[in-house]
Amino acid sequence: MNEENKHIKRGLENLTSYEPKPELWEAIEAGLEEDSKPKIIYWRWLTGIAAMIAISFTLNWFAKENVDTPIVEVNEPVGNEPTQSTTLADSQILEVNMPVPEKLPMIHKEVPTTGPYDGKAGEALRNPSYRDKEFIDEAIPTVPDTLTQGDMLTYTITATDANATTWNFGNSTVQQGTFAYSFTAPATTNLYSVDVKNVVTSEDLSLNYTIDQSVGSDVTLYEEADNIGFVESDGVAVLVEKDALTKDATQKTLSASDIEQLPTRSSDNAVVGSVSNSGIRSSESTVGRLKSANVLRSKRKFEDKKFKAVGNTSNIEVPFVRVPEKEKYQCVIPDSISGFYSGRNDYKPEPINTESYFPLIENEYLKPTQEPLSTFGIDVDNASYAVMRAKINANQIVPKDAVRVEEFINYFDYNYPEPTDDAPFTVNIENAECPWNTNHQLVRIGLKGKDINYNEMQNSNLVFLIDVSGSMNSENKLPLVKKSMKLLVDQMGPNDRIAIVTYAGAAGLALESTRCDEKDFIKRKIDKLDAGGSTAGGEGIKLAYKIAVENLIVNGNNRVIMCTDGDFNVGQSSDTYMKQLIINNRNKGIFITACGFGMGNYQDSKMETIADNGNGNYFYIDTYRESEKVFNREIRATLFTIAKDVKIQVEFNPKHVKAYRLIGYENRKMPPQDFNDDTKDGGELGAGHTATALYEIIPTTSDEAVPGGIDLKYQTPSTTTNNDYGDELLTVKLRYKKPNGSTSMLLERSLNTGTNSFNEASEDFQFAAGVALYGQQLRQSKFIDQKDFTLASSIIEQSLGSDINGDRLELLTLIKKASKNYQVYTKE
Amino acid sequence: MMAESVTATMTLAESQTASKTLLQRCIDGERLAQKELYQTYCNAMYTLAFRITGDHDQAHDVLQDAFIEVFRDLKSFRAIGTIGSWIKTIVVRKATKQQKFEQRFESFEAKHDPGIDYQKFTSVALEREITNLPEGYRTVFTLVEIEGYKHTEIAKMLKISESTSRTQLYHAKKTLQKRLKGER
Repeated sequence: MNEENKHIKRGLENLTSYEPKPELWEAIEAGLEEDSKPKIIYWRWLTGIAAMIAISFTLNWFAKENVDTPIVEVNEPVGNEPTQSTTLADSQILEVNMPVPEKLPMIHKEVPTTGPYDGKAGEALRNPSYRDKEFIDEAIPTVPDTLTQGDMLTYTITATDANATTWNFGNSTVQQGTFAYSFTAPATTNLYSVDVKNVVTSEDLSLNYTIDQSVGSDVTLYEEADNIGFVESDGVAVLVEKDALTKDATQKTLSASDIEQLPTRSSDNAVVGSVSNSGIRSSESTVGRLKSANVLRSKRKFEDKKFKAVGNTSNIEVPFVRVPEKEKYQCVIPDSISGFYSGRNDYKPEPINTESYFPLIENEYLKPTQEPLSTFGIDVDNASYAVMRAKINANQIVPKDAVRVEEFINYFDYNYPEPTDDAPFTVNIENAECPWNTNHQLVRIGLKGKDINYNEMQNSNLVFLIDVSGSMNSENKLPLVKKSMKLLVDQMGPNDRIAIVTYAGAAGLALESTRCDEKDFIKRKIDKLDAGGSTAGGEGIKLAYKIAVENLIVNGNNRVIMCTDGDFNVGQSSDTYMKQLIINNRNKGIFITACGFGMGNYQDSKMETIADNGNGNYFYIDTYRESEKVFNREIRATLFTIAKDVKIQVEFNPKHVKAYRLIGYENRKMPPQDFNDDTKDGGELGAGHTATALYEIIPTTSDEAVPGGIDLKYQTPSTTTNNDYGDELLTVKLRYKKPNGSTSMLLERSLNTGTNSFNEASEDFQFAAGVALYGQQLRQSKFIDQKDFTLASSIIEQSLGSDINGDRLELLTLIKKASKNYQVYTKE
Repeated sequence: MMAESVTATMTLAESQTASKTLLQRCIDGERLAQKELYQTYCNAMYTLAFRITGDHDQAHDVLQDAFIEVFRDLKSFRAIGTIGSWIKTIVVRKATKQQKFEQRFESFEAKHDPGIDYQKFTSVALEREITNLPEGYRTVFTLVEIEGYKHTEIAKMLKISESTSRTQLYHAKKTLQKRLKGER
């Protein structure tokens, strides 16, 4: 079958090339016309894209006719409709305000197959890389995320009249935030619609137009409208409906009582607007929720009516703010919830109010006499640390609930000794004086997991579950996912398998489970992933597990790696279903790791739930460097679990410990009886990974009253402690299961009392304490009484150690950056 | 009725081109973009359709149906392979819808490749003889020898077995060889 390899047949190149009749295109067009709906230009409600818009126009009232004020509704595109329209009068002057544009897409130009013979059809079908050769990417010069004075952007404005004649208007220079362009409507006819488009990005725009008073005629007729815009009332945008204004046909302005009587409307769309009537209130923009009862869709109205400009009498301004939706940007709001947003950033600020984090209630001090046991599952996810890094780099405040101090501490490597015997990890306990309160002690418990020999690594059966919905389109999402995946592919061996399942609207198998001796093929498939559509995560997860089960490697490493920006819909009813699905598959030996990318609408809580229930970890990848850490440097820890359901239980000796406080692990705590219950889930430890927990301890030698301590009425603190263990401070018990096991094993270690000063403690201990301090400060812990990050910085600076990977130094840089952005921290 | 106040130099079409990919514009229903896509591929596709159907009128019908389907289904184009190859698949499918392929169980013979050295013949002669091949033979011959598909792909596209495909090619080549012999 050698001819199957040679698709280029010499001698066949010059066969005739035929052409179809030119009329064929018209026939095709006719066929398509039947399919497509007629274009209707009509007014539509806003559903939320951020921009500052000011719309002003002059109203002129015609005394003899029933006049309504014109609709000043800005069309917000839903889906693919970028057009905004309005009807203008003859010779009306239109000014246009521009929002800040987004980054520009690349243009793909395909060099097509032409000619009768090229032999390429088959190759194109079976050779995935062929697509790359055919596409020429032409990068359009990118527009910065925000504009500064003098930036040039080009917009075109097109106007259409009722006869569908089109005029094109010109372009203009843009200033930051707004841009105004005036043009005069064609004199002889009434314009039907005006479209304004950013030439490069196809951004739609809001309109700000005034009617030229000097036109000369004395009559203005306005269209009937169901609504004319918004009025701000107590921070809520209130719909102005026509009835409010037509009570008095001669009325030219909205009086204060008119505004009070306006009906309210509410919707779930966070759309806000405000109408102000100069003289009553000045235009203000607010961010808030729009409330309305009945949203009326505007109908097509402008067919037969005419607009004419009249002399200037009143002025209604309708500025409003489009509250961002999903990953769209938020407009500049100084001192708002977004914190210290400065004009030019490397990152787009994302709306924090749509992100979700589990609310964390800080651990309190507990007395060993009342609560001798502290039990929790380990947590080595990196997400919280990475979120913090992303926020700090974007000069934003880190949401309190996004800070999980244990994840900060566990982000770093510590030099605990490697295990030498059968146990999969070593347990290392150390105590010393607490640096932020020298009357207290800190106890650090550290586990070091066994690393995996390359020879011992089980074969992997990995299924990537990639969110390719439209929201994944930005630079720090799908492109970063692809880079991360390729990093991981490079680490795989010929007996490992990789499959790719994509989900967006529907789930699709982008790559069948393929052995990793075809790395180039796999990488090309990765390159081809494209974003578009809305997300349906449930379908994707089902398919991913199905593929994983089909290719299950017994006693191997079977894992689904889910990559998303967290913005996925699984539907309310299937949340439980999904959780059950994850648990069932976990019991079959297929784990799931969740990787979050990008920011905004960040479902941190959902991602954590997935990873927790799936015996996997949860990573947040904000930069390429982080993906290198997760998928390259620490790949074995990422993929290979050496111990699962790891739980720690600490018993404190009341002889020496007056009170203790577990730092972090708030959502990993469990009641003491769960420690011995193997059906209760703990955390997973990856190969070579460390897990660290810190306690702050008030020793019995201190006179301090336990903060929040409870005084009992019927009991007095017992003094009968077991003196056999007189010197012991605490005992740590550990339960873990082998990765494929179902029964747990128990380890126990004790620590004697000691009196190390902080500087005598090991470098790793000091560093961990510094990280914990910083984290608690970000969490605004009531137990920390520091004015700023000076102490945390200095501790970290002195304990950088060898820091081969630069992770510790990075933290130091972040703290310095945070210091600039956080206000002087004072304890509440 | 054109107003004097027109000042712009850039047309709407030009402006739009700069912003979205051609495919996206086609998906959005923009006629100009669709026409551009059509014009890019119509000659190659028409030629292929003509080769398969052997008739110009039929080829026009095939092309019309194919492109209408292309624009209808563009949204679900999954970017596996090029857009051109995807369009081609649709064209092939439309063109071969009516065709029947003989199933002969001469698989042993079919494995033997009657190699033809096309360079020995003029393109006029080749063109004529290829066009004169019986329908089924001509189709498979075009797809394998001219378009470069593999038998597995052809089997999928035409919904025939791989061995039928090979058989058809074998016979196509044998016939061609015979007819071309007089043409040196």
